[in-house]
Amino acid sequence: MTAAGTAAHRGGLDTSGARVTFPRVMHAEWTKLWSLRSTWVSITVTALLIVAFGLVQSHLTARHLAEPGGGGGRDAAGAALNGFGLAPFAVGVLGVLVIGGEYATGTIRVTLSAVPRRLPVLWAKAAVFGAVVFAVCLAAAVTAFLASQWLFLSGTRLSASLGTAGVPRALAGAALDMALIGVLSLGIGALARNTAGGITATVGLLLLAPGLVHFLLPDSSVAAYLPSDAGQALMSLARPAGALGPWTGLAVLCCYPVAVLGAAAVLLVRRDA
Amino acid sequence: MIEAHGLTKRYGDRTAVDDLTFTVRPGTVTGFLGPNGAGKSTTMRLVLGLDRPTGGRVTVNGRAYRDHPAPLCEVGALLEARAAHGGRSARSHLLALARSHGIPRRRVAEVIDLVGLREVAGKRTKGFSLGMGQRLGIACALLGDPGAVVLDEPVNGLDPEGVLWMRNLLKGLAAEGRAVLVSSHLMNEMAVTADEVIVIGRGRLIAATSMHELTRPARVRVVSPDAARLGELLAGPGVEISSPRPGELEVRGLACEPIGRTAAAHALTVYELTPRAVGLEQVFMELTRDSVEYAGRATSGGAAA
Repeated sequence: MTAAGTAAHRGGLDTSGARVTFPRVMHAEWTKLWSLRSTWVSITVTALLIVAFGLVQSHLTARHLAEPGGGGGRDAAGAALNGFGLAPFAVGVLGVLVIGGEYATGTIRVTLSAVPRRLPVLWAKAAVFGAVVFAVCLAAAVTAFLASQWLFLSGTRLSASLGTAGVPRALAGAALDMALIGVLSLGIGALARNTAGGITATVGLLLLAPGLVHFLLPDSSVAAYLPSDAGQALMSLARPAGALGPWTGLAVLCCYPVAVLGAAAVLLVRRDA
Repeated sequence: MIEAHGLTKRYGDRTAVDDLTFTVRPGTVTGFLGPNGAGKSTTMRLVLGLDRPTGGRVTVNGRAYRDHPAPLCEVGALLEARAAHGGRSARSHLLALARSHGIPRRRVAEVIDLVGLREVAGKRTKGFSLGMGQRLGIACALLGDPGAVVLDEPVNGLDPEGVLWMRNLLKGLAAEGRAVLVSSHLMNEMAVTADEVIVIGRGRLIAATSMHELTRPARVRVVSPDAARLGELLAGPGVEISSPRPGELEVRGLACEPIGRTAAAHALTVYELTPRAVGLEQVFMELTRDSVEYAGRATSGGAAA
């Protein structure tokens, strides 16, 4: 009665090929993501932030290295990746908006009536947003690294190339860190179903939690397991005392989005939309 | 075809929908009426699987909504006039929806034209009026060319031209063989649009019948110089006759035809024989009098509206 019956009347649409599939849900989420100006603004700001802070820090490091007896300096990629200290906030806010914005505007009811099984929506949002953040941050990290080396650090003690041991891992690790934080904040947005609450929780986890832990438990190893510190382990060439190794850091970092997204999935299915 | 059986939804200890059973048939416009808070919107959300029923079930074309491989092609819904992200254009909103089902882009342009939003399709919906929002919602509902359409208060915010457009659209959708369920507070609009009526109050079914049946003439006014004699002749079981003034009768329980025949058979003169239909509004008020949740008090002693 549906497809055949009405298509004949309208003489238009052939709905025989229409059905919900996961790639199509991803395509829909891709369309929604890029059809908002706020996405373009946040993504551009994130990329510029990473490149600009990387260049500034590399410039300062190079000047420091040039001074007589100037030692220290961070690892070869550390200065160029300086912007990754700030980028999580831009990425986190956008991650919350990706799903919180749907609740704020009522679009979520339209989305969930198109995909009434619901979970594909959450997975598709996480996959699309995570992939976009990874791609953009990787490009920004490589740009920041190459430009820093070319402009400031070539010929110094911190001279390095993309072929230098650990550098590809640090650059990809920085991008992966952002992607995972993006997915984490998206999960927080899905739990909060509200942009203001989601953003507060995300900033709290990324900014206040490390400060509190360092302040209350200065000698504890707990801090190393926070998303901020675990992420740092992923993008450092050198490994400071007490920090996790890069692979342990990755494993720890993955636990956060997995746990939050899992909880969001359970509630998404259970709660009335 | 939308079928609900014993549909019940409780929020905490408040029962929003209570044991509702009804059917929305293809080819008809079914008006869904009830006072504010009666449970109309909740029922529609249950149809679309947005809320989970506490008891009973509702199916669309024989299956639960969520079990359809292409839900947008089974039921199109307009639940809220403003259910689009204000920062997104109408076209992008529809395109994203279409892509979730693999509906071709061409169809997006079609529904935009159908609802008359072509000029503003590229604009962000933030600036849309309530009426434009309703039209965008209709476009979403029709995107998948569904066999059933569920619309919550689609006439709200439309200008007179829009109201007429909506009336013809709903009738057209039914004429194409679709099942149309539409809620409204505008009784006069419903009276001319709907074929079937479902009335609920406090979540319970009050009436489910045809519009004709609900508003059929309840009494006949007869003006005759022989009113008294005619009244005696018409009297019988199930017939109620009153005479508001000499020479005039109000007859309940008989249609015009038998009254006319009786008069003719006895050679009585009749000046006027008028069926008095009861307005849908009046029927609705009487049906739902006991289930109005938010009643205002009349200001000057008249009946509360």
